[in-house]
Amino acid sequence: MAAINCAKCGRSLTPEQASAPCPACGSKDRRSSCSDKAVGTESALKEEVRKRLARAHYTYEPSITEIFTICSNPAYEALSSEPIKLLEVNSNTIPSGIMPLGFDPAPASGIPFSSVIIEVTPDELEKIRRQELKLPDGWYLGALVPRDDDPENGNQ
Amino acid sequence: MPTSQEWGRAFAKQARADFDTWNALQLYVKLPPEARPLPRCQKLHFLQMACEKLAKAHLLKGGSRVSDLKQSHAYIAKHLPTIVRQQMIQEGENERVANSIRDQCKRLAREIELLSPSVDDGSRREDNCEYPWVHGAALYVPAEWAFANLNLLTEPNGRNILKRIRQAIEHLAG
Repeated sequence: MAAINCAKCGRSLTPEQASAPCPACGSKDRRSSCSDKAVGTESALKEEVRKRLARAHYTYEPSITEIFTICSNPAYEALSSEPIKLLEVNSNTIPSGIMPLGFDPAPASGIPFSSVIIEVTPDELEKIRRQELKLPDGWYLGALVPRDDDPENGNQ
Repeated sequence: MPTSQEWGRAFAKQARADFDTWNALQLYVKLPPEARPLPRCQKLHFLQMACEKLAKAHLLKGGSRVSDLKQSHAYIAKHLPTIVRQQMIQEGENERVANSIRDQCKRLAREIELLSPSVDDGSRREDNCEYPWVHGAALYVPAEWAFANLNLLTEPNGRNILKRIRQAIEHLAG
């Protein structure tokens, strides 16, 4: 089982705790990504594609303020068949709850993995953090994908 | 039992049939000179159905159950812009074009969604492509309505958006 840690106090969290404020310090920031514990070239590629895809969404839609990875069981995350999952926080979207959109891989475009995009409003993100809105299938909120390579820009 | 993936592909194939029909009515069908021209509402109905099924296809692929999606026709305004964005990313659309399309895509998606009679923006927009409606004291017929808010479809950005919709359908239908 890969660890998810609170970015502020370092406490190790279960997947259920990861979506809620840290029981020790209340912080909602996490230090983990879906695959940073996984090993192998494919996992590295998946992480690279995840970041590239997220950054493309930031670029093409400026009203997206944050993009988070969504993680499932780490054993599944290492599989190439497990989609890349992103939660996009968009202040201009229509609030509609958790509605994942699935996309097929597009290897010719450098996206060899299937992907899932969930778009939510900032209010809905807070509801996810308070666990008033549930992510499906045991998924939980992972790390923030920063808008660019600036480590000060939300890189956790 | 079919999987979510299989449902998604099935919806995408049906979206393709709707989109092809919209395209045929729009571009290829030639009526005899004595026939009345096809009303715009009939053509747009197929575009609305294609877009709704495309959105549902991606939702099914994302794990939604088909029974959850039967209750509403209001999926286009929320999801079509994301689908078009993902398609533009996959096709490597340049940023300048993507930026010029983005807001128009949102407007267009909302207008397409409003073509369904069950979506009326809280009774503010009862114009639709299927059933007559009353506004004030006047009675309106879809077959006689201009749908001017959808003229964007024939402009360059509108055509680009339609192209992305078509590509998204093809990608998912296989």
